Amino acid sequence: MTEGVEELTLEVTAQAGRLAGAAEAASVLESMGIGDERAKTMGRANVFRLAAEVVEEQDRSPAALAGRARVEARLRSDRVAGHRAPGRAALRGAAIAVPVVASFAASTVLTASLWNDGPAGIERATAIGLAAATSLPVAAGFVLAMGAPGARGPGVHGTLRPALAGIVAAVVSGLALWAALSAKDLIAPSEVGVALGYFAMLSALWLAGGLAVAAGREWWVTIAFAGGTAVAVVLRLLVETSLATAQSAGILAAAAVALAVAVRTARGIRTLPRSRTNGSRTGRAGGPAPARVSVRAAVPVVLFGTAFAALVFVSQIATWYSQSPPHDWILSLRPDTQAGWTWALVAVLGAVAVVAASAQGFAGSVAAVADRTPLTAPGRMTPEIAAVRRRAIGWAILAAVAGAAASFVVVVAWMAASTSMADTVGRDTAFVFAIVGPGLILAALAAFDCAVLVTFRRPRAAVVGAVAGLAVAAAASVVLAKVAAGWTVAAGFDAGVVVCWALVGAGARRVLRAPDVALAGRG
Amino acid sequence: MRARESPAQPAPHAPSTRPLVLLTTEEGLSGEPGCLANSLVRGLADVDFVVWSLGAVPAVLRGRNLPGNVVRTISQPSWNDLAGEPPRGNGRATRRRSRPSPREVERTFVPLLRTFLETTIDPAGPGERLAAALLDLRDAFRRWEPGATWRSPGAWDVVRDHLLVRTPDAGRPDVDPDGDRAEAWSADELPTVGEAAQALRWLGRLLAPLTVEVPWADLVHATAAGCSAIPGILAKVERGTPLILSEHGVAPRDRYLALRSMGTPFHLKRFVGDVSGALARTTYRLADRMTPASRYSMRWELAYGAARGNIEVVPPGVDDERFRPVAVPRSERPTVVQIAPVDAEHDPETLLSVAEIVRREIPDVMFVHFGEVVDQSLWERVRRLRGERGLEETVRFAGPVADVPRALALGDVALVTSRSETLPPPVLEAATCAVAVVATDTGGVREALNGGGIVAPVGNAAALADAVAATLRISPEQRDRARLGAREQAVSRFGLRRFLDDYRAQYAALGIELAPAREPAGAATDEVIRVPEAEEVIAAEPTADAPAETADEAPADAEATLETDVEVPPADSETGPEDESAAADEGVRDDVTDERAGEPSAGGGRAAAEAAMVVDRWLDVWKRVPEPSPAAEEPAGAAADQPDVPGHPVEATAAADPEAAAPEKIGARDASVPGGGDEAASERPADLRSRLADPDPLVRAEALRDLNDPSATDAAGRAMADDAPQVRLEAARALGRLNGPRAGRLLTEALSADPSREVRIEAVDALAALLARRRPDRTGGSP
Repeated sequence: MTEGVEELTLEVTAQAGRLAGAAEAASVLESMGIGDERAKTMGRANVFRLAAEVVEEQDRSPAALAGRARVEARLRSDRVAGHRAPGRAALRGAAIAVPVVASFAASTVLTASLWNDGPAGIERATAIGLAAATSLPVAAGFVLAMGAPGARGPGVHGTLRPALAGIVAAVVSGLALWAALSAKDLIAPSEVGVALGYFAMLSALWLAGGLAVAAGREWWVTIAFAGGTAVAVVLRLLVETSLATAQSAGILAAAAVALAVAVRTARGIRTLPRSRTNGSRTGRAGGPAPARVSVRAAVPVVLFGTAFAALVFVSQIATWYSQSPPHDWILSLRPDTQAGWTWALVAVLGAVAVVAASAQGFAGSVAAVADRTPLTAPGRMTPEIAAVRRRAIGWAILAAVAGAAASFVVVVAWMAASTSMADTVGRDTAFVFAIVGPGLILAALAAFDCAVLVTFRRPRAAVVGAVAGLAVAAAASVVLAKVAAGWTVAAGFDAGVVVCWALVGAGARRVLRAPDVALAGRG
Repeated sequence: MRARESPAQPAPHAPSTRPLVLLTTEEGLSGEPGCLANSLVRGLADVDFVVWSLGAVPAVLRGRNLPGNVVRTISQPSWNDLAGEPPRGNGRATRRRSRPSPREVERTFVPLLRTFLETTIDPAGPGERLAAALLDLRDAFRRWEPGATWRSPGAWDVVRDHLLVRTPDAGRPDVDPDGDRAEAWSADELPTVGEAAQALRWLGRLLAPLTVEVPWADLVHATAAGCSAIPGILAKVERGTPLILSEHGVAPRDRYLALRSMGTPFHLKRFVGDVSGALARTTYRLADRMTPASRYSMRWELAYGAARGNIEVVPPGVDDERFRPVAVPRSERPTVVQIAPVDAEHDPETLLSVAEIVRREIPDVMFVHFGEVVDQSLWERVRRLRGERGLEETVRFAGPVADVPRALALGDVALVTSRSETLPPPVLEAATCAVAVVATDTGGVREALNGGGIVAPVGNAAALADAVAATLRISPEQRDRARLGAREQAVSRFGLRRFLDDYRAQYAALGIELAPAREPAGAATDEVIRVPEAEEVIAAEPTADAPAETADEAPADAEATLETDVEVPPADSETGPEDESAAADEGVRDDVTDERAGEPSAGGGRAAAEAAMVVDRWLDVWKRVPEPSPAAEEPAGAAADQPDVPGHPVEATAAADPEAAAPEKIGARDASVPGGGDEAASERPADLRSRLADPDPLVRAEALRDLNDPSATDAAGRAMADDAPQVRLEAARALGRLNGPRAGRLLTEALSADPSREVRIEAVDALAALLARRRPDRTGGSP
């Protein structure tokens, strides 16, 4: 073995790590500009003979052995690092929570007149509320679907395609709403047009927000919502337009900003080019998936999201119709029980953000654990992944407790400062909060387990769980609305959530028992 | 990964006299996506094609101008397309398939998969055995839904066990009883669960062609010995359908390079390498004909066990109607053009280094890069380096280009800095567009240039810069003449008509009789790269900085234009048959540059100096390529006064006037050359022998200098073995001058084996002169 071969081996090792054989060595040598001529000057018949000696030398030389171990360790650590979700978990959570908080704030500001003016705008407020409630499941399903693997490709077309799917879903839902309003007098007949208009605008807002979030521009969604709120407030308070005009302008402004951000970002992400080279094509990672792939990946997620959102709303709808006689203030709801729902939703917001952020990083965590686990001991994956899941659950519960405490302080302070708030919040409010709060935490955990199942491409248990939970919640809520006090209807939600959480959690635990098989089964 | 099929399918091949060819292409292995498929489908209009593409769809299948002779298309994702779903097969077949039960997988599929994987690592596996294993797997996928089958725990167990068998654990004495270090693996070296899972995913995609029924065809034409060759293997062993393989690159080699660029760990790399290597070996063994694009590729095929008798090099075809000199508004600044994607393989950092060095000598030089950004991090680094080196005004990145000929026409030189390519398309395209080429010595570049450009060591910026600067230094007139000479050679060697004729002959040899060749109608008119919108020039590039992306939007100071009405008659400047066979027999490539220019071992300075010397000599050679019309009209004696051809008047005249290439006329013209003449021509053989036997090397050299009789080639050939370098140098000159029967072979040997650098360089000159003489008659000769 000549000195030249030793040096060459070290160079090849630095570039390629452990060699798979003489063919790989020859390909690396040629990529270094070393061909037959150089091999002949080194006394070898050709580059293939030289490559074979390089492989032998790599197995023999201590320096080459150490070098290839270093390179292989680096390659593996690079793989593990590549699975890490972008940004820190706290930032990801904040990016999810802030737009939600912003939308709550916007709703509060925009509907302030309704709260203050009493029954003056009841018919319109009911129409708007129904439109908002109907648009939310569409948005929830759409946003979840955007996160599904393969749902979105790079480039403008990659953005337009899911947007088109969202538009189709919104149109179908809008037609269903129109049919429902035509068939039954849920709202005043004169307000049907207003309800459909709001449905369309809010759907546009959610779709645009979903696209922006999927493009990784969560903070721009916050800015869009804040901007839309500002537009509405300015039009309402300074220009003194009607509430509907101010709201519409605000919603459309926010949707326009979010959509512009999404499209601009998409144009910056170019479709991977088809190389003009002879080949040696580098790995492709993210070319646009065919439409059927997107649909196939999105269908279970949309089903889960829609059923899940309906599960959250079904008890509230039942609460509305549990009143006898119906309350004649805002949205025909019982304000005390509705306040309990709102309070609970605000309290678990932190937990939802934690769960969402953890779910975003879960797939990467699993892949990283898999890339650290020797094939001879796949069982080592289970405790590591279970620890990731436990950590996410622990943080979510902690966030929920902190949210409950903080929201309690805020509500007490608000009651002390505002007589209307003090009049609204009562004993039933506290009961609803106490019942719905834990249910919402379980719902967040069920959503996390759904993310686990989607990660392993086993979403069936998630869909079954959500649909079963919805069925149980609807049945229990209707029964309670008929036979018990209004606040007890919230227990129907809990019943549904427990069923959903149990089924989804069981599916997740079953997958995590043999994570290597599940990982391989992702296809 | 369900296969997409053309809307027109099913389109059964109607019983007719038209032959049906199944053409398979594979992204990353078939050369520029679909280039060969494009040329074949559009050029062979009397053949019906079923085109089966893996990965990027060939240009011929894109857009609305699908040729009428494409009766069906099948496309499947690339093996490493992460966005794709697991293989599902094609439409009608999928509906007949069922999800396998765990028991079915365990009892039937698992043994088949295990057999296949064992065959890939068994030295005796590739060939009939592997083909049989593929057939068995294909039968399994006829019954069962492929995605569900691959996702089954049984498939995972097989792949996991396979990887573990390949890596006996150091802690398992039963596996490693002898404690042989090379056979035992520490815990840190074992494959991981993640790698095994990816291996399973990739295996499913590599074997995706098994999920689609192979259409009946008269011939299978595979353009890569990768996964896309699987249909050809199946058709060959099951139906006896002839298989022809036309590789642009080399499948196993390109696969390894792709894996390396993806940062693939060892076990995954070896797994994919095993499967790819076995598929390639099987294809090479079963193929009836193999037509690699270059002898460089042929070497690899031979190394992988291909039978030499089945191989014939068929260079790629370049559409010389589309790729031709065009007039564009030109900058007055000396301009170097590069067309390449921004990725590590094409080494844009060396482009910056070359620009920095050339700028020291030619301050107003401009480098214009066209190409898309593939590696974003590299692109950012390149931009930062450009700023740090103050090259903003010298190097400009113009983004993707649609009109390649016009982009090339912007430059005086086309630069190729690729680190590893088999046959870069820009080399052939630039030569065909009559743009001087400076390229790295990678793959088949030397072979392709064949003296029509300059090669330098890979990554050696100094050598490349010397070559670029030297090319820019010569006068525009001289450069134009050199360019046209290069185009003439490129057209003759890589023209589309020659390409189609070659494949007609190949098809005929396999029983596909075709009508006589016709002029290809609109061949390859579809541009492979999309036309960028104005605002789509690389987003990250400062707008003010970016030059025009097409020639229409050239820099404002552009004034000079290239001639567009240049008549370049087709000609063949290839080495003569005897030289060709000699070079092939001895494994010596017939490129005529100094081989040592391509050696990085010489070190930067020495290599650069040698490269520069070769460059200078080559530029001299180029200068001697005559302008066709004026030179042809010159009186015979005037050639001797050409300032560009000192000491070599014959070559210029002979090349300019085909009539002069005849030996008898050469002798007549040499009579007017000082130092030659009638006296030498009439020298008696006895005198010559005595002078050549003189102990004084100066006398021997003088005798060789006076040689003018072609029949004295043998004497000059013997003198090539003389101990004195100056005698060998004169002998080389004489061989180039005499144009004798063995001159080409003797000179080829000299340029590759002579110990004296001066002699080797002279051999280069002489061989070039020989080539110029051997150009066929443009008026009546056939190429």
